[in-house]
Amino acid sequence: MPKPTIRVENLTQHYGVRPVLRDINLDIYAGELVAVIGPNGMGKTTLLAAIGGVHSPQKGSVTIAGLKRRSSPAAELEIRRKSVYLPDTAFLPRTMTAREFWISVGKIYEIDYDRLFDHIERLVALFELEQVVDSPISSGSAGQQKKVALSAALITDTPILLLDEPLSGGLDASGILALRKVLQRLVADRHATIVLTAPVPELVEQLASRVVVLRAGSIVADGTVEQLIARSGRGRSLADALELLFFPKTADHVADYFQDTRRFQDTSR
Amino acid sequence: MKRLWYSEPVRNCRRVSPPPWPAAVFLFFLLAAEAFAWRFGVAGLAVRPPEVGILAILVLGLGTTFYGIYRVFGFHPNLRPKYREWLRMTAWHSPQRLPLGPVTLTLMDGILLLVATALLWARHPTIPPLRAALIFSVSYLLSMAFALLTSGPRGFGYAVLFGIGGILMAASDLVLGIGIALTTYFVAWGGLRLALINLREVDTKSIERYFLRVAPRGIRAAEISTVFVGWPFGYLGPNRTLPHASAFDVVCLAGLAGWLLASFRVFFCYVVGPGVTDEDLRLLGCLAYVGATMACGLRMLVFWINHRPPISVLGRLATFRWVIPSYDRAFAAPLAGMLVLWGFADLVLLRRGPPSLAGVSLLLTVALLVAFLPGPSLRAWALTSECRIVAQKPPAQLER
Repeated sequence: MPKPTIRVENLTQHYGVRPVLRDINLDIYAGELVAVIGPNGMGKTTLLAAIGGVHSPQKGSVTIAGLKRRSSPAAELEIRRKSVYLPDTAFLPRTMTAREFWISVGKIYEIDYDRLFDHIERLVALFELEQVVDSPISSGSAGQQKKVALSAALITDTPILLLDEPLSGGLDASGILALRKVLQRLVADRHATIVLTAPVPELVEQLASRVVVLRAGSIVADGTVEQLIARSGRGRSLADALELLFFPKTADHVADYFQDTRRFQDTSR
Repeated sequence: MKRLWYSEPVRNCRRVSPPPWPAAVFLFFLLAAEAFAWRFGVAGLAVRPPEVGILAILVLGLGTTFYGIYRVFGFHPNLRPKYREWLRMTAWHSPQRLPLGPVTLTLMDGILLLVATALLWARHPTIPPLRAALIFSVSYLLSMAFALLTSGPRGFGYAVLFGIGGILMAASDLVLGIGIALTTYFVAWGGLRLALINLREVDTKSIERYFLRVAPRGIRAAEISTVFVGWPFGYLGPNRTLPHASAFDVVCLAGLAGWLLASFRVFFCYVVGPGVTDEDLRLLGCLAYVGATMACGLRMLVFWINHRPPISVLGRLATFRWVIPSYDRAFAAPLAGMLVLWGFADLVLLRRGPPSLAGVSLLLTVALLVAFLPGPSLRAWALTSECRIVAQKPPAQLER
């Protein structure tokens, strides 16, 4: 059995009194593309931030590439060299151009200049950023800025990518397609380890090799898309399976909503 | 004649002489101030009051100060990065003469200072004429200290600053002041020699900064800052830049704070004369107290600003984690510094009778030592403590 690239053990996280994550245990291996999905406010972002080193868990631990997070300065720096965390909202330096920004990120991650300049050109072509690459970042649209942030994460060349909602935030169809293909190739060709969050299952169904479902701060399901569909018994897609397994009340809520609406319309007539 | 013109001392004089435009501006203002003094002192009024000459003294003092700064900033390779990198690429090595002119004092400096002294003596006989030399030495040595502190050897930089404190303290005794200035000059000279010897050590990253690695669109990759990269790369990257002061720096800076406080007090007493009271010293002590307290607070702020506690105060209380040692230890030293200040204030400032200058200086030094000397360092603490990393989002600069 290979050692997991990311190991989360008994992780409990809370800011105040109410726990956001409860006793999470998760092993993620090299070459896996794991999607963490679940309703809003269930702890997806907090889990990714804890793995990414933003939060220090109240209980439990996060181990990346065999090194425990925050165990020593050397171990933490080594983890930072091997992994990159991109939150849903990144604060980018508005006055820098995208090219300058990527160069500075590359310098932080000690990427060789020749490799860095070449990678920048390829990313510009990939995300169709030719028009904005040498303009201040603030001049780009929300989608273009999202592409700049995603490109910065890819620039780091780290084997572990932790991406919080990379497919949302104004990305256009070609951007989503390009990112999906790149992530799949990174996993297939370079054996990268990718963990991403997504609010809706449709976005990750064709992308993830494994899906982790979070609800109320706990993992309620963990498996491949096929396993989750099979577990539901009747579902034809991941969205169907999740609805049947974990969100059965959603259909009732929708029915209730329209029942109320009909009643209102009847009364108004 | 030609041989004399190209001789080393005369060449040095020509190279270090002030640039024509600043010199012309200085002369214009000096002549204007002297004309003003003459108009109102001789022609306008029967008796020339001493106040009319103060403008000319001010211009002379400013000119001397700027010349002292120019003599270091204009010629020190470590303060002119492109000059330094060019020197590194040539066959130049210490102790060869610097191509643009020496940083050390030359015959021209002596001549100009002599002129300033003569002017002061002839036009303003009430002012001790050697004051011009003293002003020049302070500005020159301060600039040297800046160069030494920013590019090394730092120990010499601190020694020069201590020397400047000595010059201020000996303000009432000009001969002693000049003696201390000369001693400090030799310390600065020693530091300069070492700095120039180390200049030859090839630092490829530094050379690269100015000559190599030009990205498309002419962007010099090495010149791009890695400090303002925003969130998350500037905070979670492996090469994050964080403020750091070594134990040596802390000891020197704390000692300097106390020493310079005492020096400025003595200098102030000398300038103002018998009008200075013990209550003024108490006020100075209070200012030192507030300054040191703010320094302790600043240290806490620097640690806290991007590294918040893992749980809220309510969470701490509810989960009985009232103290989180790995996080809270960063605030122990500055809080101890504040306590020292609080305790010593009773002894030094609030007691009956005049406070002692040594006591006030010691209070400042001890409080800064207690607050800044013990660990942890920000870098190690940020990497290992149970902190929650948060990004600062300046409204206009960093925002998506």
